[in-house]
Formats: sequence, structure tokens, C-alpha cells
Amino acid sequence: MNHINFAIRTVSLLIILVALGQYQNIALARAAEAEARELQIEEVEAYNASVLAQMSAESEAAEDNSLYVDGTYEGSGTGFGGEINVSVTIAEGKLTAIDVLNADGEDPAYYDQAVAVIDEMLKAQSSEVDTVSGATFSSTGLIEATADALGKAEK
Amino acid sequence: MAENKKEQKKPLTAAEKRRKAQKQKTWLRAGIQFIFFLSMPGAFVAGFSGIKHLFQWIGAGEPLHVDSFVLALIGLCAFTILFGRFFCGYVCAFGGLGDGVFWLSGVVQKKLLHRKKQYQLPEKLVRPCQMIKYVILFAIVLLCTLGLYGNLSGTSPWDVFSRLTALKLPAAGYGIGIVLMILIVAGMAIQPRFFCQFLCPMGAVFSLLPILPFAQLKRNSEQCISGCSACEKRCPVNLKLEEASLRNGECIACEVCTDTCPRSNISRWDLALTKNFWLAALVKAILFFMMGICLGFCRFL
Repeated sequence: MNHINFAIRTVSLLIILVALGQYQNIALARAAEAEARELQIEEVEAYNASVLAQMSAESEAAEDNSLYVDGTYEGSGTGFGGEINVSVTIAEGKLTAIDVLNADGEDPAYYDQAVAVIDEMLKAQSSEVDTVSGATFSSTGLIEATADALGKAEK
Repeated sequence: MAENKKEQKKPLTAAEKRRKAQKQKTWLRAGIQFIFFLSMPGAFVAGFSGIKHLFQWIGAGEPLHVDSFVLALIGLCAFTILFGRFFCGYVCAFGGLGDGVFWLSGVVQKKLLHRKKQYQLPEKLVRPCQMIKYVILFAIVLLCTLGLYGNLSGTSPWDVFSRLTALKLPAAGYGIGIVLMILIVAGMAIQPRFFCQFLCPMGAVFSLLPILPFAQLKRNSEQCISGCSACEKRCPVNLKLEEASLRNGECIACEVCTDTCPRSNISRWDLALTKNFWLAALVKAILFFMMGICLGFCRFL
């Protein structure tokens, strides 16, 4: 009698965990499918691009439409518990790296989440990305610092 | 007259001893709470963010993965299943804030307003109010799953609190969050653990967990002095402390009842084993601290 309550709770927890596991199986299968499709699309696009490049190679000189001047630039922003400093690298007009120089004021559990914006910014080639939910302040600091550095890199 | 006094001396010293132990224990708990308040004020938000992330992924149809917040959630839940809600009673910064505000409110009411008894919400109101936190948990989980949680930015009193623990003013756009935070602090002044028992969604998760039976406090009711309800009166979450209520998950493991009982009828394996509340509490605090460092809760390491 005494442990009925405990038993009910244990069973409920197990049901939740099993449900999450089932969900995970389905989600993983779906993600694999989506990835395969994306790979196909990428292949086709790469092929198209190479054909186009061949066609236009002689007639047009590669247009330099980059916004940034090559080099390394430092910038700073305000994170959760203090200043965050980053250094960004521009190579061949592209944003190729964002290195964090200092983020001492951030709580580790939150900072681990916030660093996801670095990949986002590299992908977007810009500092205009969304903050990470749950780690708003740390990710805002990283975004601010990168924006600051990119500002210095602009032509 | 002289003989009378002599006779009364013995029971008095026993009561005094108990009161002294009570005071020591209150200070011990306050000290542990203070250390965790300074070093790990973000632990409860990190854990709850784990729940939010899980349901946001489910809502978006993405596969789940273990990031630092989910890891924090797993750690907090595992610790609670093993040791009861020690996290709530001794570690959580928001709980510590609640205890501090209620204590301060008591000092003000007694010393400045000369009230004999500190005001508390009537018991009839407390029970139904404890259900609010489940509604809040459900609402947040629903919003996360539907992908609408982002619309709530600026309303979280936890964000405002976390800014304050970093000695920074809340950012602009946190108007609603600031108002809620002020209301919560006001509530903390009129009811012990106001936030924890009525509103905390992480507390709702903890009170649904299957806490191991031996990790829960036990009251040996058979040996109780008939009519005594000292433990009930001092329980911050208004438990009746009979078998059923100690198992309903609301107990925050603050252990106030254990040193209130004139017969020491309320105990648990670790308290019984060590016969020493210092050791039992300190061992758990150190265990949690080590786990907290691994989970990235600590602000200084």
C-alpha cells in the first residue's frame, strides 16, 4: 500500500521516457531522409553552378561584390555577466571565422548554448541572426561583438 | 517555590536544547543556501530550459539531443529522485530568495509593526493555490510545443532575477517581467516559499517525480503527543505530514519539521544514520556542488 504512489509515478515517468524514445526514432528517420534530399539538391545545384561558371567565365570577370575588406578584426559586446570579445576573420571577402577571445562573465551551462549563434552567423555571413532561447544574454553579447567587428571590416 | 523551580528545570533544558539545535540548523541551511545563491544562481533556469528545449524540438519535429540545458534537467531530476527535493530546500536561488524575503518580512512585522504573529495566507487558500504551478508548467510546455514561446520574451521574471544576480539592471523591454518579479517578491513576504509552492514550473516537475520512498521524510505518528501539531504549523508548504502528504511530492525537504518535533518523530535514513543534521546536509550539499560544477552551473569555475 505504502508504495503505490511511488509505483504510479515510476510508471508515468517510464511512459514519458518511452514516448520520447519513440518520438526520437521517428524524428531521426525523418531527419535522415531530409538530409539525403538536401544532399541531392546540393549536388544538382553544384553541377548547375559549374556549368554556368564555365559559360560565363570568359565573358564576365568575376564580380567582386563582397561587403568586407580581408583581415582580422576585433569587436566587443555585452553578455550576461560582462564584456565578450571576439575576433572575426575575413578572407576573400567572406566571413570565415569567429573566435571568442574573452567571455569570462558567462555561466558555463548558458554559454555552451550561446555559442550556437557563431555557426549561425558564419552560415548567414552576417551578424543578423536570432538569439538562442534560454541563453538570450550570452548569445546577444556574441552577436553584438561580431556586429561590432564586422562594422570595422566594412568597406 | 524553590522546589517548583527545580522540578521545572529539567524539561526546560530539553526544550532549550531543541531550540538551540533548531537555530543551528536554520543557520546551516541559510548558509548553504547563501553559498549556492552566490555560486549557482542559474541552476533552476538551466534545468527548466531543458524542458523548454525538449518541447520546442518536438514542436519543430527535430530529433532530440542532449545539450547543456537538457543535461542540467537530467542532473536535477536524478538528484531529486535519489535525495528528495534537496535542491528546492537547500540549493535553489529562488527558494533562498523566498526564505530570505519571508524572514525579513517577519522581522519587519514583529519589530517595526509590533505584530505578535507574522501574517500568512489562510490554509484554505494555500492548497488550491499549489495547483497553479501545474497549470503554468502545462501552459509553458504547450507554448513551446506550438512554437509560440518566443512571443513571450520579456515576460519572464526569471530573466529579470538572473540579471539582478549578475548585478545588472534588467534589459529594456522587460517591463512585464519586472512587474511580475515585484509581485512575486511581494507574495514571498506574505507566504513562505510563495513562488516555489504556487508558481514554480520546475517545482511542478519535481513534485511529479518518483522520489525514492526511503529518500522521503517519515513521521512516526504513533508516538506523537496527542493534539500536537508543531510540525504542521511550521511546515512552509502546509503539509499535514501524515503518510499521504509526505508522499505527494510537495515536500521541499527543508527539514524544518524534523527539528521542530519535540519527540524527534520525523526522520529519514540519512538523518537516522548520521544522528547529525550537519553531516547529512553537508554531504548532500557537497555532492550537489560537485554535480553542479560538472553541469556548468558554477559561476566561478
